[in-house]
Amino acid sequence: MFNLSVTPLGNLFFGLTLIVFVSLALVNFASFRGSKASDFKNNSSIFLYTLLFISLGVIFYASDLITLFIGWEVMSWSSYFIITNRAKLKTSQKYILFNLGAGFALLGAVVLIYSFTGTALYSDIAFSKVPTALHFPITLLLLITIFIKSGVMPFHHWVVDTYEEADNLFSSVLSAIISKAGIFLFILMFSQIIGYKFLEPMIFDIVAWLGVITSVIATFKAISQDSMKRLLAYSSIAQLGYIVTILSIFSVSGIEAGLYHTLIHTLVKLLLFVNVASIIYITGKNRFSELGGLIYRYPILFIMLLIGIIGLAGMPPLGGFNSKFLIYTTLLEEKKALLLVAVMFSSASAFLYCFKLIYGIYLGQSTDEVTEHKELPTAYYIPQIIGAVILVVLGLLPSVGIAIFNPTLISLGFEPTAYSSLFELNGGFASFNGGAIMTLFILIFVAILSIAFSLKNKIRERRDRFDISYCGETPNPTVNLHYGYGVGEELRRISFIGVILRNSSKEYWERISTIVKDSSTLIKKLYGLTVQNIALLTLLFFTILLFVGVK
Amino acid sequence: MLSSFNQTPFLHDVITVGSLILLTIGLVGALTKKNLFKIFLSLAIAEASLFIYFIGMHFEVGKVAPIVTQEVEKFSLNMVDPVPQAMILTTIVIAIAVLSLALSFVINYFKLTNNMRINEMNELGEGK
Amino acid sequence: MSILYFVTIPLLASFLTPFFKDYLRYISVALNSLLLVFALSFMGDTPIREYISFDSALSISFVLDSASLFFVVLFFLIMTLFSLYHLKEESRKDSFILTNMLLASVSGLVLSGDIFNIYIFFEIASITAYILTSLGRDKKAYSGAIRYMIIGSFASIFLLIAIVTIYLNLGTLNLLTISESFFTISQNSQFLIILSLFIGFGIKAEIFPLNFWVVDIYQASSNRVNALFSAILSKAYIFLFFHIAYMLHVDTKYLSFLAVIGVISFAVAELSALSSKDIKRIFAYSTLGQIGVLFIALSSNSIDVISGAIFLIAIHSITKLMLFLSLDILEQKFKSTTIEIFKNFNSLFLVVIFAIGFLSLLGLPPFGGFIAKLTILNGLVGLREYLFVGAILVISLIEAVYFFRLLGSTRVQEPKEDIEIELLPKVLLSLMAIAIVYFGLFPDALLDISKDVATTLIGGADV
Repeated sequence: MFNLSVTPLGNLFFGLTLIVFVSLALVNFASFRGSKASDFKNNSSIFLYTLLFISLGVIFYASDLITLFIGWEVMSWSSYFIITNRAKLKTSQKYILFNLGAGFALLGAVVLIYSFTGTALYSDIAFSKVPTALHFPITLLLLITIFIKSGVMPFHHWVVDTYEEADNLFSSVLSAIISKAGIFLFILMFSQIIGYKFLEPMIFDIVAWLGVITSVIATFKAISQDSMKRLLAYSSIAQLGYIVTILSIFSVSGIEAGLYHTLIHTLVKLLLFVNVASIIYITGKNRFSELGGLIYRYPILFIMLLIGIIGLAGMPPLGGFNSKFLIYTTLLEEKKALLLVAVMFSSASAFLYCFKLIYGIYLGQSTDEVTEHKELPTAYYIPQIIGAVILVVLGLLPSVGIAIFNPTLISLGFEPTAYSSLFELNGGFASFNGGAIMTLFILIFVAILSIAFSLKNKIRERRDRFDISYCGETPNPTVNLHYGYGVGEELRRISFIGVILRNSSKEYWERISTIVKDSSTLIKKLYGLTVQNIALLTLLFFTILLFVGVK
Repeated sequence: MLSSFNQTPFLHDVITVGSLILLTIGLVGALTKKNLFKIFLSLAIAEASLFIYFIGMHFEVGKVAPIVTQEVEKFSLNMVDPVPQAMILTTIVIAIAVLSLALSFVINYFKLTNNMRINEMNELGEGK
Repeated sequence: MSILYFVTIPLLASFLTPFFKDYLRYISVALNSLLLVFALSFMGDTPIREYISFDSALSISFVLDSASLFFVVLFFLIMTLFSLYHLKEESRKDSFILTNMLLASVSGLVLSGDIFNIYIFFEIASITAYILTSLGRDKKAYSGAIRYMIIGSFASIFLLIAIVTIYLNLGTLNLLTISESFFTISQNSQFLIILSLFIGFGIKAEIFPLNFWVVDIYQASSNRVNALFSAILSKAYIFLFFHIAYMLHVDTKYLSFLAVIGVISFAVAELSALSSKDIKRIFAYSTLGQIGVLFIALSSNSIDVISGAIFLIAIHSITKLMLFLSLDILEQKFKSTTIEIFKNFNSLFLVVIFAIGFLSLLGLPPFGGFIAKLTILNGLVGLREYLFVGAILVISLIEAVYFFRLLGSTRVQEPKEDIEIELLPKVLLSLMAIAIVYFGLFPDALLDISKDVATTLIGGADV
């Protein structure tokens, strides 16, 4: 019943898991004795982390559906126990209920497939044996699992609070690798096991749009957040939305773009969350409104975040651009113009929260709220350096990613992508040379930096941090204009974005919760009846059935 | 004329009707009476009705009780079926045991709470 | 080496109580483990039939087939663990007598081959249960016992109605003969018998709409008694219910009716548990829910699904025994069982035990409950019963709400009191937890046994 086998797809995802877990293990162990710096407070945390790691390995290397499910559920409940370390009861309830919902939907699909094909082994499953009437329910169940896990709206309700309230370092595990379980399931189930010919294209058009709409909404919600971790949480939802959209384009370039973006996003979020965790550890603050101007004390952390931001926004010359490039070219190839426009809109707006992230923490002037500056354990730099180095390398040699993904593409039955040199990335429509772009950007960067330094003394003057020039309007003293502080409020004045920011899926989920609770209180009254009433009901039941049955 | 009443089907009907009445009395009493003793008493009446029904339905006119004595030394076909009688004897014993147990519970409960009414028994339930 | 020893030896031991006043706990352990070994020795030899009487037409028969053997082994195993748990405490005459009576009556229920014997053991088991409920000797206990007796008497009355009708129509009490000639009696009588049996056994087997009394009784009894009720008593009545049902060759409409009742039972129980604030009651609701799932599975008339049900019975008994005994530890410390106590104790051991128990009840891997649920769901999909599959999955999600709420409250940052647990309870609880994990990881042996039991249960009359 328990079958594992090494596959390229598994290797890819497990490789990402290894990078995340090993680097975080180094951070946690190096600061173990140092109380708050580490997530490993006692042996049970170590046990839970190890269990989570093993369960992820089981998911990625499973070779039959039951093993996959076992790994999936163990991942759900072991991560639950790690989250409850710090999260509030309500948030951890939300986490486990949504994730168990995903798990049970997966179980439903697995049991259906198993029962009709007679086997759970991936290699033996012939999906043709499943009657056509069940294709849609199975697809729907799998999509529910994937949506909940990847935070596609409206199933994302659990993501933001969980990321914010979990331990700071564990949030990077959540965002970097656990969210990818849904992506892995998408590729495994739809590309490998079921196969595109059994899937209804119309459903996946809708899925693509759901992904893009999620990205747009999440991007704008990210911009308006004051808490650093919530901004990163919404950003994760948005990025996963891109991946879900591009994977719904059932072509080899779609899968390639999706895999590349998965790779980039894992590394970027590892870097960003650990960076934010460092800042929170050092200053004890986690809101933009309380931070600022930290570049002078922590220039290395600033550079790490800068690299991360460039990767997140998908700007050349770093690796983030490669995946965006592949996404755009794929959408162009498949002639999905509207999707392309939406993705570009969301991508461009992402710049706003990227800049907010770096400005609110490091740039501008320092605040009075930051009073303590703890010593940061050096181990915190390890995950950040790993992420930064890989981003730079991928920026320079973009086709390294293609080389990594080719075995996976072959195992899924596609043709491997050819590439002429590691420096060059070919997206079908266009290609670019990573080395050339990197050199160009470095030259421009050096040029601007030297200009800035030479003019340093002439262009600076002292101002209050809330005094920012504003074009066209005259704001009154109560309007907060600090970029790291007031962006969200100003965005609400734009009608389209204001609508997004004002509404939330929270009420609908709360309503479901209330309905269940009320029906529970109502039904519970049955169990509070007096004995004579119970006996009376029994007699009534007997009499009614007697008259029904006796002709 | 009385001999027309001494027919097996007629007697069976009387027994049936009688036990049904007793059963109803018993069940209604168990459901509506508030005093604990009366409830158990009604349940005893209901059980008794079933005993009467069972034994009565096996009675046939002209047959004798299935008792082996000095004159009648073995089981003959003139006797009523003994199995139900054995069964009911056992059941009566069990019912007595259960009833006495019930009474002991009621007495102990009364000693602790001074309450004999079932609708004032509110120690159990959500939030107690 | 008679199979009657399962009934007679515990009874004999109860009678000899006054002679061994101080050694009762050791005798308890020895007796239960010996009988367990004795039961296991029958494993390849089934079916066995024994008759007590002079004239074979009027004989009382006892039957040991693989289904009854499974249950006998289960009951003695649970009781061995239970008596081992109490090894370090003082010997108590009342619990010794009552546990032996419980064992004797429950074995009799399972082994009995004629219907009046079943009635007798039914009554003995009921009496034992009533007294067990009242063991606490306080207001709650007596109140619960009185209520239990009233409802129990109703069950006895209906069972008696069924027996009376059977004998009046068929003239025999032997189960084999009844099952062979059941179809010869009139439809109305058949219906009356099956309905009365449904109500009579159903009240004790705790199925909706006959189980509204259960939760109050669990609240009235002490936790250890609840463990026995949950693990032994309800399982015996469930087996009896379906054993008789399959022996009487009930028709498929009745079985579908039972499955629907099972789903409703599961849904109602789990929904009610959601807003309950007392952990004893929550565990009672959980037991009712699992019984609902068992009814869905046992009424499917398919070997695959029923083997899942048998597996679930084994795992659930061990789980509930473990959970109630752990709750007992908490109750002794905090003197209350509201859900607040979960926020106030600090014991990693207990948290792990509760976690394993709850996760297994929810059917999450890698615990035994998962294998049971998977087998049942697989079998149900094979029977094309998609609605039941969906219902079980959705209602399990509701079950997850309150179990995870309890687990989450153990991690809440409130001032916590440490709990010291003796070595023996710790060892036994760990043993049960390890068993649950073991059967989750290596289920094959137990699954084969379950399949065997399932085949026998459905085969019914040819045993």
